[in-house]
Amino acid sequence: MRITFEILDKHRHDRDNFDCGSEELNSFLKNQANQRQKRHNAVTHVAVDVDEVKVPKLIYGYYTLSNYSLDCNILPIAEAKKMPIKEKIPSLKLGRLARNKLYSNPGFGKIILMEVFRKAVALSTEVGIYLIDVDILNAEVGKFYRQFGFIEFIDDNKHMFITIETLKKLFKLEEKISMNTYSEAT
Amino acid sequence: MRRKVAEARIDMRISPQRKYFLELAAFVGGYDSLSNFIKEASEKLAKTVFDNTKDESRELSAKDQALLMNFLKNSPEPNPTLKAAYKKITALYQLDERGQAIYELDPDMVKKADPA
Repeated sequence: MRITFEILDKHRHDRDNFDCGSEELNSFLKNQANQRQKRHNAVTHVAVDVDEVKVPKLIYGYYTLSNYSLDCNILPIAEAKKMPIKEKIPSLKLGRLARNKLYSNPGFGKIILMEVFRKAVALSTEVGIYLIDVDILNAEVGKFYRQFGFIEFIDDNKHMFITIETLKKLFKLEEKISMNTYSEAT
Repeated sequence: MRRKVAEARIDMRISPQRKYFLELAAFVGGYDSLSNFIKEASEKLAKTVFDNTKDESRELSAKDQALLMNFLKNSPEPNPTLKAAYKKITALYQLDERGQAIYELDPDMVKKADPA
């Protein structure tokens, strides 16, 4: 089956048959995602079957992204001067990520996350983004992101982050792997 | 001191089944009335909605600022789990002419929707 990600459209995507096991995340998709998108507050991307002809299409998973910034204005001046950027650090907020448990297996969450990374790195070439900031709704969610190298804050246990530089290293690494494979083959 | 009287009203129509379901939950939860149960539940939900929508930024504590700055200056290498996941998943997708990723997945990864 071929899956792609589209921006949520309430007429084209079936929000009613989505169940990720979390009432909060189900309810967000059904009741709030469209409104928040209209207000340009957060954009929801849904995973759908490319070849499905029926409309509305089943949603296999979704994630929401928005612009966000982290205020860093209380560092000591001497310390702040050494830093690459000051005050507001532009970031990408990964507000929610969920998969439809009725139609996908647990590995599908990783595909959604990698799509977020792919999109974030692509965006970072056009707008200034330093990191992805993620909401940690519960311990299970924290465990999911921690395994991929998301970093916990010290005082704020409701969020974690991963830097765009780390993701760029990942993408370069992959290029290197492809290049090496190519060199070996030729 | 005179007690403040609640004057505003909320009327709503729901199915008998939903009303029974809410009454049962209020009873099991030890609430003295269905009204109090609904008031508390809806206030909690309202707070969550505001929490989820209010900010487009937040201020970090001094410790978290220092931590973040340190990681921005010295971003870590991707960890082995991330590398493995990335390698596996990049093999699954191709970009179409619009730059959109199309993932070719095994049938055990996802189930097709019912055609009905």
